[in-house]
Amino acid sequence: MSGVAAREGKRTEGGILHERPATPGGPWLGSHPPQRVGFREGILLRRVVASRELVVQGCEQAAQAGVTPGMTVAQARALLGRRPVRVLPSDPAGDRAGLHALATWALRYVPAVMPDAGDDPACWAWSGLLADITGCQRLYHGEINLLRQLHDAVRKLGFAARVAAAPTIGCAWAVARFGARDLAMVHNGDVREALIDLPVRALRIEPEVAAALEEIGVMRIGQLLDLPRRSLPTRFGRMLTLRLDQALGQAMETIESVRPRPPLSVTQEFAGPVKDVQVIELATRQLLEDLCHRLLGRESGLRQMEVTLKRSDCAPYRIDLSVSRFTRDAKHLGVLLRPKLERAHLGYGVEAITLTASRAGWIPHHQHDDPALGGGDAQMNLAQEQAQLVDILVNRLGPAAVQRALPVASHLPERAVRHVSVMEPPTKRWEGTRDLDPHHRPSALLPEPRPLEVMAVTPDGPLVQMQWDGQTLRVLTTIGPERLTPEWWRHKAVGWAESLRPATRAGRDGGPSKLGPPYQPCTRDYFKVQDEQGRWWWVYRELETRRWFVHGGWV
Amino acid sequence: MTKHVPHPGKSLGEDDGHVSFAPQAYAELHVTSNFTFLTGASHPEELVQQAAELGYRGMALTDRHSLAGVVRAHARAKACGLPFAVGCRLEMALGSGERSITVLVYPTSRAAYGRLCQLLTLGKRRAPKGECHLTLHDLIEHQTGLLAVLVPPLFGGERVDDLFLEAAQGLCRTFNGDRLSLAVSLNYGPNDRAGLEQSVALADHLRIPLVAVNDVHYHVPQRKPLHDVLACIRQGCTLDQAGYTLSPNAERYLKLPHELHRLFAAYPPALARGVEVLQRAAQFSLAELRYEYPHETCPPGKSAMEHLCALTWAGAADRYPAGLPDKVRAQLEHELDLIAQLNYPHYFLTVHDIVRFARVRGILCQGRGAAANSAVCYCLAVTAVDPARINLLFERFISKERDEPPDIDIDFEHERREEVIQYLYEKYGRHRAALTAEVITYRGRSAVREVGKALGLSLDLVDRLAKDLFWFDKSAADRKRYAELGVDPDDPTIQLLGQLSREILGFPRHLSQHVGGFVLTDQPLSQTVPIENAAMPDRTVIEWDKDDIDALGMLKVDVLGLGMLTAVRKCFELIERHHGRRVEMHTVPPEDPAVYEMISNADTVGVFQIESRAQMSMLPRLRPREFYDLVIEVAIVRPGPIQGGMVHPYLRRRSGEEAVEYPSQAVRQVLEKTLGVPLFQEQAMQLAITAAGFTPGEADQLRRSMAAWKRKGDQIYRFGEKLINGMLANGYPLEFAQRCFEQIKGFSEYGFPESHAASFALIVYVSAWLKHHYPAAFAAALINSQPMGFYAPAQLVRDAKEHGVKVHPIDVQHSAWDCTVECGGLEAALACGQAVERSCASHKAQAASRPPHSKALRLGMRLIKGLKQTDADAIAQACVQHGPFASIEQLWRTSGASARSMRLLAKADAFASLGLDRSHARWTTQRLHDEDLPLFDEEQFMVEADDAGAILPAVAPPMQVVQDYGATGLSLKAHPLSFIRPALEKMNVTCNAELSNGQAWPDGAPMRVAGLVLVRQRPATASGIVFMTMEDETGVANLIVRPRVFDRCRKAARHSSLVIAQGRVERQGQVVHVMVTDLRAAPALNPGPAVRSRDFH
Repeated sequence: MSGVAAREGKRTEGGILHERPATPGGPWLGSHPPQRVGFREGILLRRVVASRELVVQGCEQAAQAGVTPGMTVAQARALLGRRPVRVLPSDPAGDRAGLHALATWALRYVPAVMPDAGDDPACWAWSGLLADITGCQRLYHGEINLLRQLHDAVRKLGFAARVAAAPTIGCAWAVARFGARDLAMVHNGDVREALIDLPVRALRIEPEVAAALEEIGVMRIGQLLDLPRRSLPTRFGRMLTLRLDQALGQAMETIESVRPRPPLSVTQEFAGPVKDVQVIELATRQLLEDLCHRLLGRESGLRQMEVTLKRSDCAPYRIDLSVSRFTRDAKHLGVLLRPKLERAHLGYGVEAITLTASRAGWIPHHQHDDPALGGGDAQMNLAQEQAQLVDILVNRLGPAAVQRALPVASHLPERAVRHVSVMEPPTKRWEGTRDLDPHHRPSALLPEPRPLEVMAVTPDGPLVQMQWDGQTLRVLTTIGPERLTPEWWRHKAVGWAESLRPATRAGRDGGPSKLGPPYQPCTRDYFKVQDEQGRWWWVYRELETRRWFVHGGWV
Repeated sequence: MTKHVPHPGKSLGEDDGHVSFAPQAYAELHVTSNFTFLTGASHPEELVQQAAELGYRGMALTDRHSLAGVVRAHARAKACGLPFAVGCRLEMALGSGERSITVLVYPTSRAAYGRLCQLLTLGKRRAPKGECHLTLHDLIEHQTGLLAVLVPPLFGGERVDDLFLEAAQGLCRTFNGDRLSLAVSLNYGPNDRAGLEQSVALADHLRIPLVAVNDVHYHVPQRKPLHDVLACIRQGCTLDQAGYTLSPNAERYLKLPHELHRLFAAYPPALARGVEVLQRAAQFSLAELRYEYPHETCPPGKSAMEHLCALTWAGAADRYPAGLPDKVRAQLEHELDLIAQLNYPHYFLTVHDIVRFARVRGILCQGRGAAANSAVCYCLAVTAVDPARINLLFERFISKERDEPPDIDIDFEHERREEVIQYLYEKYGRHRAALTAEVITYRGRSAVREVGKALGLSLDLVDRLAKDLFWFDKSAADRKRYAELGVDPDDPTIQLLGQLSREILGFPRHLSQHVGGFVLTDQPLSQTVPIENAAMPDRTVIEWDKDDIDALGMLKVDVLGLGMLTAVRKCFELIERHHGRRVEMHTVPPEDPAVYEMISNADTVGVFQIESRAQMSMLPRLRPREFYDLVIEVAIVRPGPIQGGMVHPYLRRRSGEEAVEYPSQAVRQVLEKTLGVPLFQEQAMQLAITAAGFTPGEADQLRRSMAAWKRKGDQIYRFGEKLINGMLANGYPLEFAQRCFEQIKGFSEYGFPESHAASFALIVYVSAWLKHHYPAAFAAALINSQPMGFYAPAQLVRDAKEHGVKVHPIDVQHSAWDCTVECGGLEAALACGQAVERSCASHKAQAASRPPHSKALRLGMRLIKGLKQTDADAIAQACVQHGPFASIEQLWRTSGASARSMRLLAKADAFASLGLDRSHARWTTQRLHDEDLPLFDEEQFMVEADDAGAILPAVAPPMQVVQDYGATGLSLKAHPLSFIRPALEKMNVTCNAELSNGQAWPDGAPMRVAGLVLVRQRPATASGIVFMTMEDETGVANLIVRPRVFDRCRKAARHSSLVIAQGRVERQGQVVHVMVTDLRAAPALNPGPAVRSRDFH
């Protein structure tokens, strides 16, 4: 973690986490999110620039094969040859979040940490953390121990780290990235010494400026310091001298630390172990009200809650509760919680109860949303009540038992609907329109089509009678046929297209085509028919097998 | 991506003769082919063929806003004897434009067809490329002579409402019940019967007859999967997401007539109306398009033929100042006679006019291809192959039997082709001149990629599959490859992918513009074919491609660009300016033995065509001695002859190792000039005629099928059978016949016709002559015409140096934008010109004898990467007018060039004449800013006037060279390899120059060489072998890298710029290769030179 230091006692230190493979050949990404770690194969992160796929960052194996950031993915693949490689889209926002999380994590070692990354994802190779370690050395019995601990801790997270402490941020930044060792300390007075042999790029300057310096032959910071300082700004801009001053400690630079925000939580401790369920319920209700009040203050609600009962001489008992939408309705939450509390194992008694809003989110305030005051939107209230009903059902029956039906764009009736758990966030309505009169689909569909005996005069002509359940039904009206072909790409039957012959041709070839295996998809001719009792049926004939089925009806 | 769809007009009439009509009369009026891109799922030919086989009374093609497919359909319909009607589906905006109304229209006469084309042109020209914006009003204005079928929106998601009724009634008033019909189709929807009843009611209401159509999208129902996939590609979604975009069933195919009669049993008049409409529409046939050549090329009072004769004889006198040889005179008379008979004078005059324009503008041009067979073209200065020097076959160009217009391709300087194109637009107007289209079709990669996406495979997998296409071509037997790609070959989706990708191959995807094929007409072109906007501004394109144009017998002139012509013209200019000698293509002294000597030594860097590795290794074996040898050289090192196995027999026979035998006297006449080995397309044709008894027409079909057998594979085999049987019948041995056929088959892959080879050979000779006699000017001209050719400026400069040319670096005060030739004054220029005239035995000796100051090449500022020409010109001008300058700032302010340009010049070390090295120049230019600085900085600016002398770090020579390469791609200071030579010597690496030392390094000797990679080439014919050329400070080494080695040393082989190669020496006469066994990257200069090799694979 990198540090800036003014002399007397007000010493600030900096160190840099620079991720490299923890183990040779292990995964390495310039990007932090720990979930990215753990792939066996090579990894390339790509981004699309002007419809070209460019490598943002590659793993160690890729780097060994010669893959460098900025080359096209195709080139990188060519370099990697037959080695398995996974190409993932780069995710700057995710990386940023990951780096932020890492900074928050590092707060356990030092009080002020700041993520350090540019805006350009291409610069993420240089990202790291800056920390102010002034005054921490005593806790660790010396600075070097602090650095060592940090270094090892980051390695355990799966990243390899390079850490440097220096009196200035600029110096620590440069030494951590361009210094010779993974772990380095620069003492007061050694700053200039530490910098002069490093390349000019180590000054945190724009690549163009560094390139311009290199063209003049100025490769190292020492050479830069030899040039007349006053002629630099007109040639290379003011940033160069500023960065130089910052690195040398002649200009101020500070660290803005991350501040964690713990989840909202309320606790009640009892004087002694309590075994009375009613007391616990009462206390919980009060805690819930307290929690909801605090949520109101934060303009937020919760979707998940943890209730922890601290039991004497036992492990704590935990209850998890989820609801279908963000809420801060204490009464509703209480209703959901009660049956769970009733079943809780109290052991030798409960000493404390803690309620934590483990997943909270924003609920904007509304005016007049209290129906008791005569305000409130009737529709919104209805939606709220529906949500509460859903929560109750889910908590009683389990999330799998409560489902929502969603339309699916498919011509096949049995595929035109899909059931999802009601706890899944509602998705957009399906896209694609259907210009089908709703009357052409039955009001009730059988779970599976059932065979049926039918008598017809001509292939497409009206039906005469049907045999169903031992009865013979005379057909009064026939509408159809409506022909639907199977979704050919879903089936194993690659040869389906071959089997698809015009009916007349099949007839000319002599009789029906042979019965295929049971999964063989068939083209169906649907008919709406009305029997003599006035009932409307939806029946179909499989074109290839000539078998008849009933698939639904109008009730 | 660019590949032509096989054209029916080019195929044999497979089913000549007439269709037998089915007993139930039916004609299909609503057919969408795959020329309604990404919608129809069958080729027009397939649809026509199927309709004919089912016994239809006729078929119309109604693609959406397009006539792009009608020529193909017309040609196939003619072959099948099926009545065919040209048609088009128009979708016109209704009301505020959100709704549209669909009408099918069919012209009944030539005039009506012209109006339809104009209507489409109108809609397309006012819309962006690929779209067509029309209103009902436009249709009504162009309606005379059109039949129309109104497609009601009953099944299209929209209802018949007032807006539609109003529009329909408007149409009824214009077209009335006689010419208008209402379409009805029964496609097994939810309630077809009700739909039919509604249609009948609507037709009664409008008082127009009902016509039965089937809204066909594919010729057989088996195409339904492909139809679905196309819909997905169109929508950019997968099959799973497509939902209702797909049709519910597979009924939109060409059904049997009796089935349609069964479907429409309730309303038979609709079927009869369809037949009636088709019969009326089929009165017009595309065969009526009589093509007329533009007429203004002829002066008033003279017939075109008279004018052409006058021009020809005048040109002949010009071409043969010493008198016209009798042979040529006879040839001219013969040709003019034939031209008069076939009435093509306008065509020749048009081409002459284009060439005349180019000459006036000083644009170098030369006809290529079959036109070089014509003495008239030579006299009109269209081609430059002297008929007195070479025997050519005029009938290959124009023949009475093939009633086909001649096709002249003209190469122009690539930098100035646009001028010619704009001249044509200007002279003939956009209504009479347009580029032909190029139908862009699905090919292997694009097919796999897009079908894979539609099937929902991951993009990653699709990319992998598309990249390694072998799995697709080769049969499933190659299971190992599937495993390597991580794919289960039995996976149904993968099998679907294979099957559908094969089906979609050759499907048109969009229309693009042909590189330079112009169609010129006398009457407005928009009355013959719709014209649309091209993607490029100021370009208009017709809807038909060159095969369609051919099929209809229209005139086309190919205006092509050729880089070498630019270089040759620039070289001529430099020679005229600096050597005071005027040369032209046809006045270059012929048959110069010194030039042939140079060519035989494979000293041909920069020479047209014969500079490639394959050509260079052939040259010492072939040892060209005369012009015809060059013609053969150009033709023989082609994939065709190589695959046909003609190269080695020819070489053996030429060197006398193998006796030349002819099975008969007739064959001898055909093959004598190529020592019994057929090398040219013409010979294959003649062989078929003389030995196998083909008629000339059949021979021409053979030639066409040769050009297309990869696409239409089976045809050539049918010819093969006929050819072999014919030869056997004429008493030739089977072995001879089979060998001939194999050789002919080999041609199909890029074989050259002789005339084409002759045209190219002339450019070969001219460029070789220039290289030999004026190496400095030649190098300058080549660099000034970049990018072109095989070699980068660095190699051209190096080659020039090796030929004794002194090369000066880029300098602000001495260089112009282009490279220039510097001579020591006029006297020296004249002197050295004379010195060159005395041709010496070998170029090395000549180079030594040349006075050192005689010619120097001054590199131009164009070599500096990123520099703008305007700035370079301003600087050059400032130097001429106000120079010399004392400081950078003075030069900067005077010239007005940008600070950025000054920095680029500093990077290129171009301020040596101001006494500044790169670092100091760069330091000084870093201070220049284009934008005004605030006052504060201005002050500082004054203060630091003295800091120009800042002490900058010294730059080591290797770094200097690296920086040279970075800025200009070459360095005159040293070769990068010279700096690592000591390290290389420790590694036992030999100089490339040693390769020519046959004693020290005999054939098979192990050897290590190193160098900068110049070229990587993987010829299609070499089964994966990669040829690499690399250079060190002493010379060039040619490497052969086997695929196994290439794979193993992939990183070095593919990407390193400096490599060390270990291998064995392979000698064949003067040709030396290193057969590589190991490749690795050389110890790098840090940072390495920014050299990119030119990779061709």
